[in-house]
Amino acid sequence: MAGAPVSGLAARAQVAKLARTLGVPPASLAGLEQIGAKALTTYRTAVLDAAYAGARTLSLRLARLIYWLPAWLTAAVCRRRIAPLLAARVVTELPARRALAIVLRLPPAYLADVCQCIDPRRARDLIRLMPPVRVVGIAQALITRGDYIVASQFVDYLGDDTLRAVTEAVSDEAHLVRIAYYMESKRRLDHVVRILPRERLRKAILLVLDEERDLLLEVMSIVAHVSYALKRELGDLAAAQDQQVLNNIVRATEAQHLWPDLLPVVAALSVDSRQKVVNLPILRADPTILRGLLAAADAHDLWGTVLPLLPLMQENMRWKVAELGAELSRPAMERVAAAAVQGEHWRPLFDLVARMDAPKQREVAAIAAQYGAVDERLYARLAKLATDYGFGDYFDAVAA
Amino acid sequence: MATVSLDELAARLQRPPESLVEFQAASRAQLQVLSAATNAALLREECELRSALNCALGKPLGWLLQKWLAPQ
Repeated sequence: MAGAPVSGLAARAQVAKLARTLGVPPASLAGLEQIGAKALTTYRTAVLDAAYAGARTLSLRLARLIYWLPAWLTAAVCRRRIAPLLAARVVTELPARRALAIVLRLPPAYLADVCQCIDPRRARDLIRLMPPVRVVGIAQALITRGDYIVASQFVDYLGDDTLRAVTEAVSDEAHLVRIAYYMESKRRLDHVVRILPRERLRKAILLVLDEERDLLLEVMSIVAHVSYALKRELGDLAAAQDQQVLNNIVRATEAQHLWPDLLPVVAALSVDSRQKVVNLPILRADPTILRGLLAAADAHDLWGTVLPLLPLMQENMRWKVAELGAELSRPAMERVAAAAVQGEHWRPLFDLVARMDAPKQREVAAIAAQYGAVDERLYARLAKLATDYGFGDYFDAVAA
Repeated sequence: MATVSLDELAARLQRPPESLVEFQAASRAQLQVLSAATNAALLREECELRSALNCALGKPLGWLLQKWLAPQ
């Protein structure tokens, strides 16, 4: 069934985040990606809210008590006796400036522990007030622990100066890529990517070449979730790599069902890059990959993205797509036709249909006739186009 | 294995059932795991908070303070 494109990468990241919130291994939540990133986020925030609500009175009253204590004394007590979870609860109930006075007296390692328990939505004012140098210390502590999920949750609330300070302090782009993968707001991700110096951004994208680090999905996620212009720039950079790298990307995309993420990236590439990608020999050599691509285009309403790619394909690739496209069901063909109507993609569609067998051509003529019932001029135009492509007879037969 | 309904899950999270409508796509086994993990996480957090309070103030004082702080 056709639906809105669903990002498998975003859902995958959300499953990992939910698993962390629930304290279970991500593998135990396998399969929940199908629910979609948005619903998984809703669920996770509901769990966080329920946990906060459960002990709200306690943390609120404790915060009122602490409010009257000097900041140095509270910080000293925190360091010696207050567990990070309790501190995380209380600090979100304090006025931000009061909380800041305490936080500035605590070491980065302790604050990193608190960050692991805190809901950043409830500490946004405090996070914005934090001096960049303190945030850098906490970020480095979290990265040392490999807690990229926690680090990512704070990025949405950091100011640009603080973000710059953190990215400058973190010299390895792999850490930044891992943090970006888990970022909640994709608009924010776009902004963060733009803040990065171009050379570092190039290095981050070229991490796809580093098989040992296994960051393919993380890098793909960045390219898939940034805005159109950046998608093109970063996508072109990846597409410029040798065929082996692109084959790996295509194989991973099929294996992990990530066509809804990758197809819009391919569509955003420059013409040369698009041509290179859509003619990759692996697409012809392994029919399961092309079949997976077509199935994803149908399931995620991406025919409007796929059809304009067809004219960039070489003859042998078009024949292969036609061969597998002929396996599509009648309802699927109707959805392809709907995309052709919406985007005026009849020419690439008919070029493909011309390579299919007679029953499929007849089926397309019948679908076109449905449009003809409401728009005779469109039908006449399609009949002429079909004649140009050599299967106009079926249009005449349907009309008769 | 007891079955878990989305309504029960929503009630546990104090959310309207329609907020979890997308989870109808999840299998019964997945919902079961999700529900168990959610209950465990909420319970664990509550226990850790109480333990943290006891640890911070000493057990008797922590207990008394809990009574005063959270009389409900």
